[in-house]
Amino acid sequence: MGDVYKLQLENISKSFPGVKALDDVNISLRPGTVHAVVGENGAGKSTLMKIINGLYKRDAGRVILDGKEVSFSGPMESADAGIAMIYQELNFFPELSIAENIFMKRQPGKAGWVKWQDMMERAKKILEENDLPYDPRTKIKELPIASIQMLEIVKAVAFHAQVIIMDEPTSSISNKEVKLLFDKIAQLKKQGISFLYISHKMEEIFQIADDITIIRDGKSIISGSVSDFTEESIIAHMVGRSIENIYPKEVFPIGEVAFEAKNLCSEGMFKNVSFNVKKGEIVGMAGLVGAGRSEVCRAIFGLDPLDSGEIILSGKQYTPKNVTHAIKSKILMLTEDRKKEGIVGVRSCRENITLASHRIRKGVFMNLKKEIQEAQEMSEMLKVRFAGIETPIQSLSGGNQQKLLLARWLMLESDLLILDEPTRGIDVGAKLEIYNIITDLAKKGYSILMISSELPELIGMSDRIYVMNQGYITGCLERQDFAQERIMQLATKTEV
Amino acid sequence: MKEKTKPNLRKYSLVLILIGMIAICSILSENFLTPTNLTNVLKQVSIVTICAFAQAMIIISGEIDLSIGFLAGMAGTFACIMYIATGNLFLAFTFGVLLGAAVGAVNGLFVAYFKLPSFIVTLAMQTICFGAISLYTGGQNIYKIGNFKVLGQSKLFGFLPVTVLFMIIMLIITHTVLKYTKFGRYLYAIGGNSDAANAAGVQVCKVKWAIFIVSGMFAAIAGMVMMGRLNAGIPSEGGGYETDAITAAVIGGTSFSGGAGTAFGTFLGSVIIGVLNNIMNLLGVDSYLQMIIKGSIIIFAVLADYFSKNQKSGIKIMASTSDVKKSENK
Repeated sequence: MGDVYKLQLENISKSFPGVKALDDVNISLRPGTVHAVVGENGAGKSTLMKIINGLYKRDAGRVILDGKEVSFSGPMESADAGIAMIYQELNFFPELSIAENIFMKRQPGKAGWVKWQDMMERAKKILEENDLPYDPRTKIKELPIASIQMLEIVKAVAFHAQVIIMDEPTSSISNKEVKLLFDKIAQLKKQGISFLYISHKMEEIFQIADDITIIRDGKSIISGSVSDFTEESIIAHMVGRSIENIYPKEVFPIGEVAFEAKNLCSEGMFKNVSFNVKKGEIVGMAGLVGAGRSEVCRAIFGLDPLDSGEIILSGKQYTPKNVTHAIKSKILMLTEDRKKEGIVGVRSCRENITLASHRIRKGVFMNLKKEIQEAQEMSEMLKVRFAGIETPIQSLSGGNQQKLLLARWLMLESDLLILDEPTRGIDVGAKLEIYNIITDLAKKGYSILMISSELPELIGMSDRIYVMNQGYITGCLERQDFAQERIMQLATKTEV
Repeated sequence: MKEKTKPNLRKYSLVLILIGMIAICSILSENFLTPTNLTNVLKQVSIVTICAFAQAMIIISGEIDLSIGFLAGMAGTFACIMYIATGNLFLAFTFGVLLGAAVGAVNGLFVAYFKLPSFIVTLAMQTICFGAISLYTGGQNIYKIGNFKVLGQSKLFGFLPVTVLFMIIMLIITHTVLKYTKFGRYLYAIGGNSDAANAAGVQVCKVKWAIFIVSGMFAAIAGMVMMGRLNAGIPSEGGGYETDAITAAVIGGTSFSGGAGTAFGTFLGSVIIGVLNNIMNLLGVDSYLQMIIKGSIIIFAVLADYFSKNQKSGIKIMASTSDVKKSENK
């Protein structure tokens, strides 16, 4: 090992008006290794990345690359020095070709003119060398997200990156693609390339990382070899307290069937999907990305089309028409993409909470007094942390936003509450609180259908789990039969 | 958790700017701070302000309505023709409003249900409106409109110009709609994030359709007041009101990306431009130079808005994350 580090961050501090975002952070990255950086959302991980590539100026501390102190003025300069960043939300130009994207800001040519042929040939070579079966003229928007991500890595390496910093690279790709990504990382590691790997996901960290640094509240809490840690100890360091059982599951007597779907079909999406949810029951839906879980739920909620099938809700026939009708029929759904289909970012927390519920009140006018009171009560009940209900919702952390979106539905009566990835992208502490809320709801008799890609979460919270693959339900497991292996088996089973 | 949000400085910044302007103007010209002149300012801005209310509501919902100007010209002139034919002012006025609603409904139909960009649809509608009225009148202006002029020239109780009264009524209506109705709330939600609004059960298409109808009605009312004031039916007079309305709305704090804006802000934005025009006229500033000054001030206003917004939201986000951290450490 020795003391030779590829990249060292020494005593980095950074303040923004009103808050110290980073406080004396130390990270040492050994050459040819993957160094995981973990921490709750808001712990300062993104700020740290931006300090390294010069988007932010650090207040104190040193960045040392190959033993020399460096200070970059921006991403181009850091890229030239061999540090590449791959952001969670990938940066690319959807309408431009693969070649143009690879050579963005580095187009071959002179005096502002681009040598197209040269660029295409070089792009083609890069693609071939990395087994990416694409024509360099293909527009980026036609590629799946995983390929674009792979392209970013390939691009970084093609321009001689020695350090690659990745921010939650697996948040939007399937398990199979994750494997490809990890293979690539392993291969590049052998070539001596080092990775700073920012992630929430424990399994990944144990799978891929050599070293780990845990950040909490802007401070680097502890660093070391991954093999010295366990999942529990990492979580304990992240949240600053130990979580013995993070799933507050309680088993209650379950009522009669509240919701039943029979043979739901949607062309090209899912086929013959039948399942039921009982009163007071939490039913999990497992499956890989693209298995059709969200599509089924969205169709029930009236967001996506449903071709055929029968739904019985509290003993009555229900045919999805649109969201308004679904809400009226007491089917509610917390959508997967919080930013896109959840919050109205610029508006206040109050308006976001009551957005769905004023429909049920009669008349044209709002009852402002009642609205304020109810929004206030609801956010206190869910322990939302904010400066007040008039704060724009976009200034809140993901976990608090999610609580407010739950509050939106809790204002209404519900016969079926669908939760699509309710804890995606929120930190461990907030997750725990969301689990508590869900458990409480089940206790109150809510019928809950929960989609999640995190198996431990599904296993920890559900009474029953349906597993889907390629648009079919491939199995249903009772609580006593829950096991990750069994679920994965069903999730990859092709024959019905 | 219950701590009150700090008083929003921006909320009052327009009022402060206006007060500052009035103070400076009254020093620059002794004719400025007289009741007659101030009434004049209000009279001059009333028509564009009515258009600006419509435009503000449209922009809040994330769209734009470029047909407002010529729709006003067309509906106003047709109302004159109706009045000449029937001699019934109430009938003529109702006809004008319905005509505006009909044109707005066509705009809204294409924007909401066929998902065409509102910029293009309403740009085309602008031409259609002017074409339609010119075809009907053979390109002639309509004179001798008789008592139709009361809509723009009379005074209530001997001092309150009817044009100003119309503006105030529309201000109250717009304020009420935006602040106290569900419909207003949906406008903000759709403009802020229409996918989220849809997923919360807001009937996005219906609301969008409706707001274009409302915009058409507002434009028609502005048009009739305009013709009354001109004492003639001159369709071409409407041209340009759509852009002046955008200016007023934007200076008044309406966010061009949708989801934010108020009736009072729009009103103040319009009055600020009115005061600016007025003082430049009083001082005898060359009219071409006036245009340059006006344009520059608009850019400056938007720039100031940009900087204040960016700075503020930055600090806010930081402050809120620190709040979260503090409470998590407990």
